[in-house]
Amino acid sequence: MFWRILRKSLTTRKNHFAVAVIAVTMGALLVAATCTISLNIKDKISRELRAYGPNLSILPITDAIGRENGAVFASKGYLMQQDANSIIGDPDILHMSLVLEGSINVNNQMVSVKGVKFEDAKQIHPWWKLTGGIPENNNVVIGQEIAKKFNLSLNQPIVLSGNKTTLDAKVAGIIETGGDEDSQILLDLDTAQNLLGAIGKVSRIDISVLSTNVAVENKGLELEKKVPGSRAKVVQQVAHAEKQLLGKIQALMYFVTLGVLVVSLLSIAGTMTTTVLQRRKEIGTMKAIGASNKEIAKLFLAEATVFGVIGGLLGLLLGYGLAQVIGITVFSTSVVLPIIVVPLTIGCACIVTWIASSKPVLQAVSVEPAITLRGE
Amino acid sequence: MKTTREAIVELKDIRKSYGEVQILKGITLDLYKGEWTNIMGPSGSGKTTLLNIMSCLDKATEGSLKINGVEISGMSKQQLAHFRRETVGLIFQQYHLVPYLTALENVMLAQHYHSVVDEEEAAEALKKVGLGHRLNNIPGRMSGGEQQRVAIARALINKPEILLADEPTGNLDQANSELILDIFRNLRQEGHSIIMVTHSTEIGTLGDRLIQLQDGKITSQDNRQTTAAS
Repeated sequence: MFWRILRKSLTTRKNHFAVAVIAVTMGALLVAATCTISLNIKDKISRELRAYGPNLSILPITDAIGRENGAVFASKGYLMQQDANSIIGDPDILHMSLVLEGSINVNNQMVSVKGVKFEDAKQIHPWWKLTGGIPENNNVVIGQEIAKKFNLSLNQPIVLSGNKTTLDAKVAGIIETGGDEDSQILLDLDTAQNLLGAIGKVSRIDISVLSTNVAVENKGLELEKKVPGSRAKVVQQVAHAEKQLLGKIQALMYFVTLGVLVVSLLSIAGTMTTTVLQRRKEIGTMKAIGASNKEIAKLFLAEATVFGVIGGLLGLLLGYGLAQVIGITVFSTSVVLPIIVVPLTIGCACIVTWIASSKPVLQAVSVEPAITLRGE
Repeated sequence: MKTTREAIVELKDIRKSYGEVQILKGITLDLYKGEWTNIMGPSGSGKTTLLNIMSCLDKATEGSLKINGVEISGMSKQQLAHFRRETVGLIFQQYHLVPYLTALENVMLAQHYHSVVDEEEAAEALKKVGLGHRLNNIPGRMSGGEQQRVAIARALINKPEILLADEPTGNLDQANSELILDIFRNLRQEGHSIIMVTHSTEIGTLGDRLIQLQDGKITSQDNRQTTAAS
């Protein structure tokens, strides 16, 4: 009989039912969309933020320090390339670039050179602006300041003199980065190793760590153990900015959701209060023929639960749709519905509806039949 | 054959005030099992307030009320609600049916709050008041007389000790009023205890006893029949 009363009570007042369900749906929609995006896109946002450049560098523990003929000398330390290769394929590493740095002679002037694998370097530094092309056949890319200094342009010859070898190259490209590279000459890693007499050695490994599943600091500690003689250095500005930005994006999404939930709550409370006022006679009648306060409360809470469940389910479906649209248009990827979002959305919808209904239910329970049913 | 009258409602110095306004000013009265008692009085005399107190919908400010020997004046609202559904059947001038439930469901609703729902028994109660053909009609599609008969079936379904009716024909035309009063006559014949509030002199003359109220006090008690037929 209870379910019969509940069903008829809901289906009789279709407008009231629709308004309440729409209010719940709006809140649930945002909960579902926010949670789905948050759980799916954290990885995507992290990848997007990797455009800031590497957030971790693996360096030699110490540069070499020694004493020769009574004088202290310091020289650059190196990592072994084969050790560095051991971390290739790590699932938390989005991109990595091996770097060898040193100095060579160009036109009797010492110039800083950087040996890299150009494909890797471009991935990890996507903002590099390269005029010309990626060098082949031992050709080089020069920084824009070097180009000015030596009055060089594309395809012009340049002679690089290392400790023991000399390289006759052409300018394949001119690079503009806004960083050290503007005053450097960039060449292929193997070529640089030959020129600088550092075969199989690298100065550092620049890494873009995906911070979705692991903190950058912890990844650094893990990689230190894999690469002998190395120490990890977190690029604090990048890692910190990334963490802050991710946190702020999530906080913004949660605040918007919370705001919409509050609006939903107020809307449901208003609808429920109106319906209790409209149904005072019905409540009074039920009490007069024997309904206890508990039974009256049960009826209204059951109605609220129906609003919560139906609104929650509708919100879940629409929220998932919204998350898909946002995923595709903003992050260029589709999203999957994490299973936890289902109970979370329906649970949130029910809790908000129950909170919103608490005062109207108390009003329903406090209806005095003797007053309400007084004959007109 | 005559039997001793057995009091079913005992009121002793019942008073009711709303703030400074005193509605009932010391009502002392015994009502008897199997009798049809009418309470009459002008508007504002306190007759509905007295009925509400006897039907456990309201509480007296002072005084003692016993129903079937049970003192109820000290009961909490929750206890009163429980006592009401066990003991009292109520009929209102405005019928007060749940608008979205059918005639049958309105009767079953009283069963639901009382104990166990029995659809056949509810249908039988409606047939008894001549509504066997209107079981699945909602109140909005029934005449006033039919709605009042549904209300009577609902009041009777749990076999209450007392049937209390507040102006049950007040909203009905002559023909429907007669139909309803016939039902009450039959109920009286079956031995039900009926307390009816009315301001119709014609209805007041029906039944076993007429209590006249004025300004919250009993002004006369007309006992047409001092013993109930067994």
